[in-house]
Amino acid sequence: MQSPEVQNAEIVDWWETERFYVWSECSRQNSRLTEMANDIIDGLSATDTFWFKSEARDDLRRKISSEIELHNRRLAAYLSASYEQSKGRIEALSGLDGASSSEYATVAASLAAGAGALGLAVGAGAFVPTTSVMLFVIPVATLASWPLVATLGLGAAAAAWVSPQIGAYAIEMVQERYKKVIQTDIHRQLLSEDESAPLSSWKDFSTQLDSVLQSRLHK
Amino acid sequence: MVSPQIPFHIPQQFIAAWNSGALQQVGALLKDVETGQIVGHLQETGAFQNAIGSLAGGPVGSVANVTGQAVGLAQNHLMAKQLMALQSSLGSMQSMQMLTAVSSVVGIGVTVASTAVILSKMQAIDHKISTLEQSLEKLPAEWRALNLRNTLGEVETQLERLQEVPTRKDAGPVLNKVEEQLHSGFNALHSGVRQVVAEIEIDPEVLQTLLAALAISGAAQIKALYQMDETETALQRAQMQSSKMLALALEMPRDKLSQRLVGGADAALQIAEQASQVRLVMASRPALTQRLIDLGISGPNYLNVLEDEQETPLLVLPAS
Repeated sequence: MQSPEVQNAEIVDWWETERFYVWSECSRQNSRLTEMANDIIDGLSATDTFWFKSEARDDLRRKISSEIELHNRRLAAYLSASYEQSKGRIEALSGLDGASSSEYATVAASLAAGAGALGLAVGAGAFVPTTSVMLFVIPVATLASWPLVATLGLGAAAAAWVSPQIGAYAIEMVQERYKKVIQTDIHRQLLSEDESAPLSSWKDFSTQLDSVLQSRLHK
Repeated sequence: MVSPQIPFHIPQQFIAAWNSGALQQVGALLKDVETGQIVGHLQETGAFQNAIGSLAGGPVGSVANVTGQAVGLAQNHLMAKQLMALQSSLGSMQSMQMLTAVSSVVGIGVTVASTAVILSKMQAIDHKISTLEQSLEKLPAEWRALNLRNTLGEVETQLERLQEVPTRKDAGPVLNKVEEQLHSGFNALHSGVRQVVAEIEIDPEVLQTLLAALAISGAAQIKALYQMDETETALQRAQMQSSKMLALALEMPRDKLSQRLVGGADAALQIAEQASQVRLVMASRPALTQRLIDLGISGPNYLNVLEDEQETPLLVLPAS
């Protein structure tokens, strides 16, 4: 004997727990990466601060993108495993499956197709095999370029030639601008509620969790 | 002494399987971990309610603190586990003295709390809401329009009428009216909770109090339908209540609460856990009611047997 109402309540518990986990992890990464970026920017030399072709700035950008991508892959792997475990515990043993694995795969495929229609770079590499099959689509991390900072940097660089004091002030000012731009960008990548593409990690995973929830619930 | 008319088992018969991890408690159900099948329905008895009353200094004392009461909701699940373990190890009602903060009429299974106790709880909630209205500077924008205190007042009136049923000649029509009003009250409280969680800033006490009111009015409604021997309707109503609690859960996930609740993540965790327990207990009732229908057991008979049981606080109705 099974109870669809109790199964639904258990599925909602799973959904709520994982949504909160995604939110917490994205918030944690947001703080960690912002702090990391601030430390690196504070350590930039005057040349790296002003020179618009600076490798150090590109390195920072690549490092943050890579960290966000790793975070997204970890979350996708975690959620896929959690889904499999939860489904195995709640539905697999019952004759009242809310959605079969093939139905779930349809949901995942439609999410990927929808992302494609929105112009998201989801596709090759989105489904990365891990120990279990990855069911959650991985958001693609792309940090925006920093044209404003570069422009400001050129102006500040000119000022720095005039006086060392002005130079120190200019360095600090540019670095603070860097920090703000990067902080905004990291937040946009991880926690933004904006529904326009590209979606943040939080928005993308929480939307996927909501879709999975609807596919699992007994109507 | 358990009635021979209903095939109850005392929990000791399930203890070994439970201790070994072969059984798990989900809401008021016992499930076989390996097969996922429901093995039995946990059901509180008159002994359970008496023990709660004595622990809290009597039925009225047990409702003195509504915040404590809301905590009691969350502890129901734990309490059931403790009760079973204590019954197993000590087999004595005295062992229940070890339990603390176990005041709730949400019930395990169908509540067997007396109408007087349910009424006291509702009055305590009414009082709490009145206090909150006076103390909170910023009430939810639509709060006044909801007129929740009027709703609670109406529910209290109906509970008072329910108390009179045993002595009334027109018990049938009165029960019908009471049940109808309890149904309206539940829906109004449900709307109230939805309104509160839609706010940008949520007061945790307001939300906890309304959740407690919702759970208690839901339990009272199902009990009234059992009293009327309307088990088929009770089944539908229990399904509807469970569905509404589910819909509510989708509107107030913990991540949203942690951003909007005054008190942040800690308050959100506490409320999310309470809401989860309420959902699971409510979700357990349709299966129990269906089982009674299958066995041909009438609602009044079921309640009478449970109320008369003064030795064993929890019973298990096998699922097959």
